[in-house]
Amino acid sequence: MVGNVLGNRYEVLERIGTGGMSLVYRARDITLNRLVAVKILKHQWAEDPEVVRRFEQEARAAASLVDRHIVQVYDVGRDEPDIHYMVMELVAGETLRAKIDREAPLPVRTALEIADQVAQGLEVAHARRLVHRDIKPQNVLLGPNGEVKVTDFGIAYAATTGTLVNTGSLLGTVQYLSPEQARGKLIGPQSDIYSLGVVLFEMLTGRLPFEGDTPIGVAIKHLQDEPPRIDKLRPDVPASVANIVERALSKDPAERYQSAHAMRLDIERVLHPEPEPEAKPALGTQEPVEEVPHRQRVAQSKRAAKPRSQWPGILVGAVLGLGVLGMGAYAFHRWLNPPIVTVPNVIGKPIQDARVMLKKHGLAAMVAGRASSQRILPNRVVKENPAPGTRLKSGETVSLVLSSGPTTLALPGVTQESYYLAKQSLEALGLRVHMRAVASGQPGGTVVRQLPAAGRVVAEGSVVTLWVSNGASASQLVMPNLIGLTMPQAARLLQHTHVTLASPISEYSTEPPNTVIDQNPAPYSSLDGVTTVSVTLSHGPSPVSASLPVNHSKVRWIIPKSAPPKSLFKVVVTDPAGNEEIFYQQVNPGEHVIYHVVWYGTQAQMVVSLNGRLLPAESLKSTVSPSPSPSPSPSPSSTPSGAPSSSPSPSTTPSSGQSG
Amino acid sequence: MWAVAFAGGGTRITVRTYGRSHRGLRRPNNEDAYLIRPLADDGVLVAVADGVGGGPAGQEASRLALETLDGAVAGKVTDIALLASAVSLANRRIYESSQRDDALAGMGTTLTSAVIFPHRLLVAHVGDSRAYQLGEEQLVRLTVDHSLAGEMEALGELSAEEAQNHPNRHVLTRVVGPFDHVRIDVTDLPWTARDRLLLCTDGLTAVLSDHDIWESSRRFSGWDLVDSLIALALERGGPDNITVVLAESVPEQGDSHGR
Repeated sequence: MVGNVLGNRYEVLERIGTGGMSLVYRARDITLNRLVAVKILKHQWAEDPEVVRRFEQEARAAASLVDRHIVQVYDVGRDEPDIHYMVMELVAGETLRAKIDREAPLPVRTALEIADQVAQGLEVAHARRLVHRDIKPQNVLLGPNGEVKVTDFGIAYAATTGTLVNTGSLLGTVQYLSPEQARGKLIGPQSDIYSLGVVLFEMLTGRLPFEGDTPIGVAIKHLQDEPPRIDKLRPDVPASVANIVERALSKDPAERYQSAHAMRLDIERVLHPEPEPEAKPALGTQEPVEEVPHRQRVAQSKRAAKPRSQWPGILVGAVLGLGVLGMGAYAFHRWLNPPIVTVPNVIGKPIQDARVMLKKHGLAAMVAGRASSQRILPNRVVKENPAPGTRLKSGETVSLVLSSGPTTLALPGVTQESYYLAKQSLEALGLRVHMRAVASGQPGGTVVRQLPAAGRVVAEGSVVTLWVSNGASASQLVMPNLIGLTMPQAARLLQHTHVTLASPISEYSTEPPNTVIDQNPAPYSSLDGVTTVSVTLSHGPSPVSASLPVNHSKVRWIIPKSAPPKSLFKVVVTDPAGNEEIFYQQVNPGEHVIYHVVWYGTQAQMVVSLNGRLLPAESLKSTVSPSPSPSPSPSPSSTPSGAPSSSPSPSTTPSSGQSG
Repeated sequence: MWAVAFAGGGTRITVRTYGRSHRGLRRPNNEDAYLIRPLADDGVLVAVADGVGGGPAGQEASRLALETLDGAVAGKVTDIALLASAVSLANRRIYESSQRDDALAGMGTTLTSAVIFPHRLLVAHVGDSRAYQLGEEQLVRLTVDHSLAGEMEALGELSAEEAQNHPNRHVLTRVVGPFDHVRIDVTDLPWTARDRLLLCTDGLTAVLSDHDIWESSRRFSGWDLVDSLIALALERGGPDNITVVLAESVPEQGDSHGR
């Protein structure tokens, strides 16, 4: 498949993944000259009209989804002979699976940010009545800038439902399967929310809520067992976060979040809580000040009334869990004290106006403190306690927190915005903006990256650097192939990109001297984020190999009849130039094994083993008289190193053409 | 059709076997296969396999499974361990072939195999093909479907009807081939000359309930039973390959040929 051009447009470059029914390749879109991913239905499925129909139908459904948290499907097509393919956005990066395997448990904030973005993708899909059905870390891709993208929309549907009649696929993972999916009941958006809950659980704890020896054991646990509480497994996870996971993992879909949006709101409340006016948030980096919806304020004001000293230093995220407690306290309070007036909403009002409004309601006002705010002008109310909507006895006092202005402020996210608007809004916040043009996949003028990142708290007057797409896109520009070129040639080729050549290193090579033999990043890789390319130049042949004769030996063995079938046969040849060649082959008794070795020098050492048992050591001796080596072919398979590393050791069988 | 005679309890009993595999009406090829092999020691080995993995891979897997089973048994099975080890060998053979050939990667197959002796039945089973004992009074399912729905049904989590309507009922939890090991369900149970054994792939049971099979088995025998079951499955859409193997014991005297 590699090297093929599909639909006269997509040049297949290399395989990057394998799925149950398809293979995924990196490819170049010749028309737009950009890198893409091409998913090709495995040919054994390609002749099944039912499978093909679903593959195409679902690809079209997925192609209708456009969101930065969903891997974009660009095109669907077929090519002779019976190749069915889907062209998708190529995401440079890794799967969440890889990240979890390597790093879990992840920091709470990281896990929430990933879940938040997955939920955003789901929200868009659900709005189009497309349920993913197979949310799992393997289907979540992490881009280089921390961008999270969900992939395989709809494909999962084709692969797992009864509508794809009786293909009898093998059950994949059931670790993320919702109870209703296990039972075969109707599924909906809540099924994806359950799966996302499992993923979040796994990110936070490094383990799964339900584990078992067999898929069925796991599936049954999804139906019957309560998941462990996250904050029991990992005490530094705030209760608010544990609550989000617990709700997402409710057995009954009706008890889960009813939409991805609802789940996001809770996640974002933890990520961006409103700070306490009395005490700065205890999280290491300051949290951005955010306006929060009305209901949340009620909860927070109650929290303020009930100091929770048992959560020192914990993520401000504790807000949500405590909010629940607060609600209870609120109800209790109301029961004891029949409400008389309702606290008006004075948030955002100048202090004078706020006093007047409160007074009209028969309430007194008291300034309890000041807090910086990104959005609310100085001397206006940032927060009131009790919160708006609370019912109080007339005559009671409402304490107000006033804005001290944005002395420090949380950076808004401006990526994906136009540079013009981004600059305006940042400057309005008292920030200075530096712009850097960059080639990227975005339309010209789009902000593709910002530093510091969104949510970071910065001081007024700080510089924010924005990378702005210059219209030529990075994914259209791929790294040119420099191999075989001289430095000036390479530099010329790079002129029209923003990539510069790093000073080269040299290595001995049989390639012509002063030509590029290796480059990093590799040819045709994306230029996204790449500023320099390092190259390796040929220094000409190694002095050692140049002065040593080159030998081509054909060595033969006959595998003993007594050997077990499918034995592992291994040969290691070491020559004085330090080349080591290793040769593996699975062999059967009586088989003739022929091996062609290229080696330098007068004598090379050969170590042969069968199933790990060493056979008698042998050495290869040169039949060529020592002379400079203009070896025409074949070229040595490994790069010679600079100096001879070993002298030939004594040997018993001095000839090549041994049988062993 | 194979007929194997064995001396059992004084009267001579003949086991007659019938097998047929139909592509069905919706699939482009037949990934099912079956095996009927008379054994040296008065037994007969029967098996059905339903390949998984699409097209050639599925066909290759089911064929390889039966070929290996046949070769490993080598005309002789004395106990259930031997039958199970033959299935295990089939698993290894398929697994290794799939490792060597990219086009076959991940291939697998269901494999439901049985050896009928005069008074004993051995069953080794992986996947969602089925073995039924058609007794005089009742039909007994001898195997559990190794699908999510089937295993949940066996555990009482789902009713038979819920399992039958489960959208993931064809998603298998266990098959022969994709991994280097496989867990095999085995059964060793008493058998009588009155019992009939039916093996079938899910192309039959996807559209026929146990009750349908039982009804047909009371009215027909031999080729008539095999063909009527397949005809009924085709009538109901024939969504998948359909394979049926039937083994019946009949007394030696009288007309015992399948009609």
